[in-house]
Amino acid sequence: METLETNGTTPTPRLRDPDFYAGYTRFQIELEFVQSLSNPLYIQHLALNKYLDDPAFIAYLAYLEYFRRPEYLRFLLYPGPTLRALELLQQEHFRKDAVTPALIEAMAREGFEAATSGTTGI
Amino acid sequence: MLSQFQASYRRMDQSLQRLTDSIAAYNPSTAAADELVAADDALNEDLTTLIQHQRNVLRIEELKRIAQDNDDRIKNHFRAVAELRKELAAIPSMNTNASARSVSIDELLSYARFISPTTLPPTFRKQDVPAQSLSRTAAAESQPHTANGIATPPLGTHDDAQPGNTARINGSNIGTRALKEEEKAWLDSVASLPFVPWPEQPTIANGALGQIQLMLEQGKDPATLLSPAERVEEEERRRVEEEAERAEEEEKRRRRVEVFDAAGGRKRGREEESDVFDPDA
Repeated sequence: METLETNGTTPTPRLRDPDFYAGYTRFQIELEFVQSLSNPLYIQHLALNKYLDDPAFIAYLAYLEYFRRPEYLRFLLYPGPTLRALELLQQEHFRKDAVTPALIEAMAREGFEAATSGTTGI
Repeated sequence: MLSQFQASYRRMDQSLQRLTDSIAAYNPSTAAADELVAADDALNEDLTTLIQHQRNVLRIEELKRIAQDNDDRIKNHFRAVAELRKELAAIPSMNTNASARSVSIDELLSYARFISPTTLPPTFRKQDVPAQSLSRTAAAESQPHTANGIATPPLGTHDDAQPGNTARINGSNIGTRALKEEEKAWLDSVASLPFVPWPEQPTIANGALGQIQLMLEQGKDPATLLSPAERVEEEERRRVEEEAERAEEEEKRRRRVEVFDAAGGRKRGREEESDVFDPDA
């Protein structure tokens, strides 16, 4: 249909805004994703669905390291487990082993112990 | 002091001698007796002063002792303070690089409050947590070990007892009961933790990513949801288009009216053309 563009050409197709998707900002989505990595069962889910073998995904995980910086760290609700998981995921042998239930359980135990260290225990 | 004593002793001695002399000469003089008494008194006085003198000497010594003690104490204090200061001076050399990450107290407290809902609840008691599951898996590993799978050898012992392969499909092979003891222990251990410091699966599913997943499953394209800036642009564009349409319609109507007039007003009764196709027109 005709448009009233004064230059008379057809309008260029507008590129999708890279910082906005489905009603959420890119930062919101990345923040959610990086924090859900703190749950070992989620990591196992990603490993079982072969996401951890995708180079683009691996590069994305490296990109997510920006959450270590203080100005972004302040947004993490689960800072300890998130950063620990991120650190582990940068290592290739961890990504390879993430499918084994034993490793996942060990990770869950480690996270639990780390969170509860310092409380009295018998 | 000593010469004073000597003087009074001499005096005493002399008066006694004089008295005894006078008594020996059968000429007792009361004056000599009085003299003796006076000398005795003088001696007593001297004795009192001597006592006082000795007492003073003792007091002086005691005071000297106290002064010495205080001096020692002060010296010790100074020594301790000097050492502490040395220690303090030794510490800051470690802290100079920490100042690069200094955080205001307010920020720290507000962040702590931010994290507190997802951190250990204050009522948590570690001793209530069940024993390490590793001991359970160790017990389970005493059973024969194979790869992930259903209907594994531990259950095969049942099969040996029962005839034929149809026995495979019995109750013990279905569903979670088919899991090995290990895997059950694993599922239990992760799920049985009273508290986990990460978002649980329902929390993740209710988040942004979960919503996107839902939208994709429902067939809606998440890209169609526009950002606020895009929404504003979209509204403007639509408004501009609507105005353009209205302008076009106005023009069309005007043109029709002109034609209508030019055509002699044949259709004078009619204000507008009807949309219905009129074969006679």
